[in-house]
Amino acid sequence: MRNFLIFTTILLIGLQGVGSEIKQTDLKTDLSKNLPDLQSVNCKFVQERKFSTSKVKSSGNFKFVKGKGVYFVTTYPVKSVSSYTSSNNKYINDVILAVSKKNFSKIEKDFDLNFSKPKQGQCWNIYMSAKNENIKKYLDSIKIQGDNKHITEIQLNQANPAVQTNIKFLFGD
Amino acid sequence: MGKKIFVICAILIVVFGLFNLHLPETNLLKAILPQNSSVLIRTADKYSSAVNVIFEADDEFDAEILKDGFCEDYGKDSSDLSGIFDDYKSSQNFLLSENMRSLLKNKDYKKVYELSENFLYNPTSIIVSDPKDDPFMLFSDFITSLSQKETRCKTELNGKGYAVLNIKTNDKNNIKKLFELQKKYSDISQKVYLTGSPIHSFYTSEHSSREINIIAVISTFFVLGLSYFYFRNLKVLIPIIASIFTGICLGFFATSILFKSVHVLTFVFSTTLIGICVDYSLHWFAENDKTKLFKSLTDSLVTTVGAFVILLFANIPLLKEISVFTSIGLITVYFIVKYFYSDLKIEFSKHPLIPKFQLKNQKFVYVIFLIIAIVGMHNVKFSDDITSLYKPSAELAASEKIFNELSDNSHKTILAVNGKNIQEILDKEESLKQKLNSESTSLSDFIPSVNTQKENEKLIKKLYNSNFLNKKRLSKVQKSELINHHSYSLIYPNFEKYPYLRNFMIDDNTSLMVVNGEIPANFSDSNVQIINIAQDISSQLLNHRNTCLKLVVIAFVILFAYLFKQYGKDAIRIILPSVFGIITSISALGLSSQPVNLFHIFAMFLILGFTLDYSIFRIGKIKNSKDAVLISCLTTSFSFFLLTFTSFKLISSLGFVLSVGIFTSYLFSLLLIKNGDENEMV
Repeated sequence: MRNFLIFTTILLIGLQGVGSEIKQTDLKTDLSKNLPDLQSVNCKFVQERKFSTSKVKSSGNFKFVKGKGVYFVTTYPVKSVSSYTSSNNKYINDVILAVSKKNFSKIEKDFDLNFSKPKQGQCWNIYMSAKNENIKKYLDSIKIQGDNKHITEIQLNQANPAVQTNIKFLFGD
Repeated sequence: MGKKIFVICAILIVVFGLFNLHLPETNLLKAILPQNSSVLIRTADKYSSAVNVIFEADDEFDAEILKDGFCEDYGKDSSDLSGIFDDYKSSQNFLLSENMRSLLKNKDYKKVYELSENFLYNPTSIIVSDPKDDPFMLFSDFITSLSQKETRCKTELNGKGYAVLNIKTNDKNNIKKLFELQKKYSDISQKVYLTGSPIHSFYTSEHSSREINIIAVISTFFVLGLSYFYFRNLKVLIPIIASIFTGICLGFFATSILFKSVHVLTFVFSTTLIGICVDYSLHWFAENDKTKLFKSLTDSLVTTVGAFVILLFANIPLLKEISVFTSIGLITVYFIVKYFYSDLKIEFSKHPLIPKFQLKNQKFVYVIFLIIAIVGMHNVKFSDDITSLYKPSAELAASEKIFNELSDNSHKTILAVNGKNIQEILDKEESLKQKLNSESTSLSDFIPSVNTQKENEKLIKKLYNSNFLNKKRLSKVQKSELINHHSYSLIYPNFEKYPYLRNFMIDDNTSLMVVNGEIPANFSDSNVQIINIAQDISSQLLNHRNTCLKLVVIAFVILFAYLFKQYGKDAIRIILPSVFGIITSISALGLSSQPVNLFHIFAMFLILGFTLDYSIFRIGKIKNSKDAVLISCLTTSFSFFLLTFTSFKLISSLGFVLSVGIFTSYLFSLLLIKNGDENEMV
């Protein structure tokens, strides 16, 4: 009986996975079908960065200009501006532009992609797991969440040093 | 006896030459620059093997995607620095960015703290160290500073997005593949541009070889047709071709013995020049009085070889090689004609060539010459700009323009830094950075010298010890842990492991440093050489041009002295047609607004060498020499005239100058030297 329950649970989890996730092979077609058309936006952002023994929080304004890239204007606790033209902004910029253009060919080179969207609802998730060994040294995975209009959250996971960066975008509507 | 000596010498040259054979040198700069310019040559080499592939799309992101696809198709580029990260990590306590180092030196700990705060709170910053090991984000700051050094090109221009890929290659197959991929990846919305010396060389050689083949075919048919028209027997061509071939072989072997390697340009120029000694054979077949002929033939050889031998004194490797190659080739053909042609039994009937034309008003020719000379010489301009020797196609020129705008190389200076070993080079680079106080990129940015690394460690420990920071971020325990952390080690440049670092080196003792900005005029350092490739080459060309101009004058004086000894006052009439020929060709450059360069001065030697023969044979009053001289002039000037239609500017302008000079010299030899039956013709 116990074995039967385990088997049923695995099967159900598996079936749920099949139902909710789109196969990798159809990824390109389904990304273009299911991802929303992102528009230029101004909003607030909140960042939380967790290290092995500490964490820091910051917030500020975020701006996305379609076809160009992103700006982060940190206002708390320190003031700084980072535009899409600065080199250290490149990887976040590339990720957001990939979603906006529904073109992941650049990212696919270094990451395994997994896209999921529940049948009901407007939310979607893209999970990117680094496959390139050199990238893995910096970044383990990236998770992007969004709704029918925007990207709502980006989560960056670094393995060494263990750093988890969570950026949430707060929209007025 | 003379025949035996010639044969023995020829055999010795061949044997020694075979033992000294090397692959031909193809580096253009090695043809022009003397050996003491080796740093310049190697620096230019470094840059000349760089191909830049520019990707243009609607925005930077699409351009990057285009670049990725292109890279995948082409194959991976080895210039990867990412692997060095592990080594950096185990040396992190020895590494500081230039900015951070300067702040720590000035004990501006407040600013250090502010920067680290920015780093921590900025969502886009690249965190590569845990705050417990690196509370002031010094290592993360160092890594970020390197990523900024790597970003050298603009990514946006005139509303379009760009990405640039640098590839080091000179391989013809790779370049061919790049051109194929360029076609594949270019369409209406996106475009791929190719720039860099290997691209220009490939494009030019592909086009030139087609043009040269067509010219060679036309020239060959012209020479064959003319010979058949005159001799009515093609068999006569066999000894002519055999003598020229032997001349080329002995010239090549002699040059191989005397020089480390024969430049491919030497081969091209010299074989063309030796081809001129078709005259010797033509004179032999055209003239029956061999004793009279050999006096003129010997004088012709002495003056031509004399003009070329003087080139040995120009400190230009190419001209020295041409001098030896051509002189030996000419001497060989002369002796073949002298010792072997008398055994030939070829029957032919000569068909007179010179038409009976009348030039009643000779003054008219002189007036035209004077007008051309005065107006032309008035407009003559000199140029030693190496870029004026080559005009790229519209497509390549457009690509170069885009690349220049993206890379903004206008204010960049290259410095060659010399040292006994790599650490001395790194030390030198670092002291230069301080001295110049300008942004720069060098090997020491990626791997600081051991001295600097040790100093960095001390600066970092001082920071951790500072009282100012006690309340900011560090507890006593942390402080002690950080200061007593001993697991870090110094980092050394490992060129085997990270080939990317080799891009900074031109040899084991010299590195290249790129400084963004002008170097002060009073800058001087015995171990540092400022390199402005185009300007340095142009300045060398200017020196060579001045030297060659002096040598032309010396050549004239020596040859005139020889001719005066042989022909007395007639020497003036012999040398004047060549002088007029040279003046007309240089004036023609002035009239056509083409600047005079080193190669045009080189053409003066050639005109002098070729055209003195015409006058010597005419003054010798050899009965049938006029036909041989005419055939010789027609074949030579026609071949050079065809070269004016090539797209390679250096060759086309040389062809133009030589054809004008040779033809004018011939014309003036007709006017100034009238022999016997020609009096009624001219």
